[in-house]
Amino acid sequence: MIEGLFTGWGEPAPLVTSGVLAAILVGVGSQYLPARIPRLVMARFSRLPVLGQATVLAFSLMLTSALGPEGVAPFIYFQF
Amino acid sequence: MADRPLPQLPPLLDDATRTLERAAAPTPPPEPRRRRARPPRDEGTPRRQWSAGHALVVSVLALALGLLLNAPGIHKSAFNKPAGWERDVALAFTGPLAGISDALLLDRPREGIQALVGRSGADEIHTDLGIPSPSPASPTRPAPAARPKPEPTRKLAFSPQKKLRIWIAGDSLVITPGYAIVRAAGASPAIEAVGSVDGRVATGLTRPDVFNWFDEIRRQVKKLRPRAVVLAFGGNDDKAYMTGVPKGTELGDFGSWSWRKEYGRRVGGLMDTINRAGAFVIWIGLPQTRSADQTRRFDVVNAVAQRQARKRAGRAAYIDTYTMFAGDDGGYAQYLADGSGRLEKVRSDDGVHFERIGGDMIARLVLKELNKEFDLTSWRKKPNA
Repeated sequence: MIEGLFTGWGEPAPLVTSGVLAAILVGVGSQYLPARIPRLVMARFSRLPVLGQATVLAFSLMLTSALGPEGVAPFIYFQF
Repeated sequence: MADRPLPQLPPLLDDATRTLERAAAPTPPPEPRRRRARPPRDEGTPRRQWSAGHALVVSVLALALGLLLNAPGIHKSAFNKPAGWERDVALAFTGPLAGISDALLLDRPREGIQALVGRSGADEIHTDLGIPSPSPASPTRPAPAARPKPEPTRKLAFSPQKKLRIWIAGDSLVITPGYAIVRAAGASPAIEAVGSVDGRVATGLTRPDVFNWFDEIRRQVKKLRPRAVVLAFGGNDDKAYMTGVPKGTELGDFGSWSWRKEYGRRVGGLMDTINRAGAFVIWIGLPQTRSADQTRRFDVVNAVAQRQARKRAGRAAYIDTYTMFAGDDGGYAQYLADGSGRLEKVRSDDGVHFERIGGDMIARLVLKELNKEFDLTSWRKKPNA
């Protein structure tokens, strides 16, 4: 494993997928948003009608479910 | 204290007096200029406060709509549940739900998002095994691929320049022995473990809907091109219910003739897939467990796997862990004596899985089997190897 630190350059890292990279970028980028933007979004959300609020929440649920882990993940050996 | 008069407060000053006092007072030294806090910008309309009842209604509506939007995924989760009344109830609810979602096109946004992140078809229930179905005309005749191959006269030789590539896969019971094999293979210059140990907890050959090993193995042998594949399956297969059963096939109870035939078809099909890719199969059998009932069920699974390996002599080998891990009385043992007579813990506390030393014992047998099948040492005798 340590050997890989010196010899593995140029090989793609299987765990760094485009989705992971996008999540990192969004996470870091969100820290640079002005504080008023989340407040503005919350204010807008609170002014939506009941159905609008429910739709926004339902789509959030769908995003979480569709982008969450799928299938049976390979076991990560922790006792090596 | 109560009798004491209250102190007199100074009289309130009017504006004119304050102005005169300020004029008479000495001018304080100028303070360093401080940045004045900016007045808050106009942030539009403030948040509107709602009642708890409103929040409850929104939540219920969101959940109902969320169910329709996620219906294909929910139906798949229900399908993958263990057989039983809970699965039946879940399927009775999620089947129509998925139908309504499809009819209203409410499943399309989920499909679109999955396609965007490269997960198209993630909600499909895939039970196709991709192995030949049994021929109804000749149910007892073995498939052509299952005929024993004559023993090759000369073993295939491997060396540090041309290493024997091995790949390991299976259910949770393969994990500890699998890593032991990787460690043992690392000590041999002529063997190379390819890929990682593909151990998937709670999977097996009876439920391709939960995890389709037939697809996975076909994909991995094509990608990794191993010359030997070590498999361990069956720990979760000691149940009557199977998915992916060919149409028209009636399955009996666990261990019945029809069950054994179908399970044998799956084990044999996997072995043939690997053989066709040019690799030798080493099948690690199930050990006895602390539960006598489970051990009896594992006997059935082992008998099927062993029979399939025997049919493919020269292309597959079966490793019997049942007797290897038996105690002095022939039954389950958590501790076994090593070469020096010292007791070593070989089985984990759950009474099923292996401890590291148990894994090492299996790895030794796997290497022995590999040495029996392949020439892994002759390169040492060659002068320029």
